[in-house]
Amino acid sequence: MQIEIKKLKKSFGSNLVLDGIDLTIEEGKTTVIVGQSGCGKSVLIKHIIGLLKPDEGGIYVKNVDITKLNHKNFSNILRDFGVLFQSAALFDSMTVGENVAFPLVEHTDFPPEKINGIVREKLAIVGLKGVEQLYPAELSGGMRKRVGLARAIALDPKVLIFDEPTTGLDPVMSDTIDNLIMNTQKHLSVTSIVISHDIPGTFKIAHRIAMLYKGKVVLYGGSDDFKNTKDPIVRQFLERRAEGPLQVEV
Amino acid sequence: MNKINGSFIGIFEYTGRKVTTFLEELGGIFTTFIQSIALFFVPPLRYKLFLKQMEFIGVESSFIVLLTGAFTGMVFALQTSYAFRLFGAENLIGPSVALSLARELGPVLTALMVTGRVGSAMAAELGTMKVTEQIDAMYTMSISPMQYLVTPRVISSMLMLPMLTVLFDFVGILGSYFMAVALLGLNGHRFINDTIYMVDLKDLYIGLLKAGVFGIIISVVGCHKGYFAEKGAEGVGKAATQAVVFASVSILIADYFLTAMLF
Repeated sequence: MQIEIKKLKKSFGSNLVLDGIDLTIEEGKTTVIVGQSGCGKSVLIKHIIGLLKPDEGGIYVKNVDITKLNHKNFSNILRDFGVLFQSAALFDSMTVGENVAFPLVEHTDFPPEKINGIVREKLAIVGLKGVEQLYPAELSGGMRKRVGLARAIALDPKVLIFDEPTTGLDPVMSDTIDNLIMNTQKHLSVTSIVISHDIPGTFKIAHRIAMLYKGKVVLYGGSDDFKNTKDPIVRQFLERRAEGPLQVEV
Repeated sequence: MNKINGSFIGIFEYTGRKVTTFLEELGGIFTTFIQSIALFFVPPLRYKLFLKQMEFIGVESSFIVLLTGAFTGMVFALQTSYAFRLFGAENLIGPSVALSLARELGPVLTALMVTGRVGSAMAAELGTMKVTEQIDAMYTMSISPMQYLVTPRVISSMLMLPMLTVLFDFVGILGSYFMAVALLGLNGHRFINDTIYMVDLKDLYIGLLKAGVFGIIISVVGCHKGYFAEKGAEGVGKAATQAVVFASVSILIADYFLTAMLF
C-alpha cells in the first residue's frame, strides 16, 4: 500500500511544525524518517494514523485523501495499519496474551482456540514463547516492544508504523528489534514506516530514508544517497556533531 | 491613571479567561456525556465491560456505603432525639430520619462517597492510559476509546448509584431504628408504623432519580478529566484531584436544582 503525503502543513499556535511535506512512502518498502528531536517526525506519523488533522495538504492512500475521510471510512483504512508506539502502549490491565488477542477479538469472529493459536504464532514471530499469562509490568523494555509488535501484526496489516522502536534499548536488543522489523517486512511484504534516531540501525533496515528539518524534507533517498551526500545538515546529523547548521534549542 | 486602567483591564482579562476556560470545560464534559450515551446504541455491546464496571462501581463500593449509611442514620436519630424530646415528639424520629435519607442524605452522601472512590479512580486510570499512549493505540486499532472505555463506566455508574442509594437508605433507617429503639427506648412498632405512614414512595423514587443523575456526573467528570489528561504523572494526579472536586461541587449544585424542580 503506497502512501503519498502532499504539501502537508501543520502549526501549533505560532509554531510551524510541518511546512509543506512532500513524501511518497513506497509500497512494500521500509522508509525510515530521521531528524532532530522536535522536527515533526511524530507529528507526521500522527497525521498518517489520524490522531491529528493537517492545516493544509493531504495524505493519499489508493488515491483517496484519508485526512478528509469521515470517522467510519477512516476506521476501515486504519484496519490495514499496525502501529508500534514508542512506549509499546500495551494495555496494563491485560495480560500479554490478551493484548495480542485484542484486535482479533474486536475485529474477527474467530473462535477462542483459533485466536489463541494466532497469538502464539505472532509471539513466536517476535521471538517470545510462554509469556501469554504475564502482565506488561512484568516485562523488560525489549520484551514490551516485541509484544507491541506482535499485537501490531495480529491482523496482518498492509502498513506497519514504528515510532522510535529502539529508543531506550541496549545495542544488542536494538539490533534484535531491527532484525525483527526486517524479517516482518520481508515475510508479510508490508509497507513499513520507521521513525528513528539510530543511524546504524537506519542504514541496516531502510530501503528509503527521509530526513526532516524545520518542517521540510531535506533529503529523501537510499542509504547510499545519505552516505554520499554533501548536504551540511545531513552530514552533521549522520556524524553526530554538535557543531554545524543543526542547533539544539535550549 | 493609566496604571489603574491597566489593572482594571487586567482583572477583566483574567476573569474573562477563567470564565472562558470554565465554559470550555463544561462544554467538553457535556460533549463527553452525549458521545458516551450515543455510543451505547452503536454495536457491538461489550456486556462484559459493563458487568466489570458494575462490580467495581456497585459491588465494591457497597461496604463503604453500608458503613456511611449506618452511622449517618444512627447519628441523625441521636441528634433529632434531642430536639424532638423538648416537645415530646420522639415518634417523629423515624419519619424525619427516613425522609431526610430518602430525599437528600441517601443520594447525596452515597454520591460523595462514590466520587472519592470511583471518580478519582476513573480519572487516574484513563489519565494513565492517555499519557502512556494506550488510548491512541486503541484508536489506531479502529476501536473507539470513547465507546470502549467511557460508555461502560457512564452507563454502569448511572445504574449502580440508585442501587447503592437504596442500600444507604435501608441501612440508615436500620441504624436509626437501632438507636431509637435499643438505646433511646422508643417503641419499635410505632417507629416502623410512623415511618411507613409519613414517607411516601415518591420520596424514595425522586431520591433514586437524583442518584442516577449523580452517577452520570461522577462518571462523566471522572472519565472526561482522565481522557483529556496531559503532561505525564503530574497531569494524571491533577486530573484525579479535579475529578473529585468538580464532581463533588457539581453534585451539590445539581442536588439543589433537582430538589427545586422535582419536589
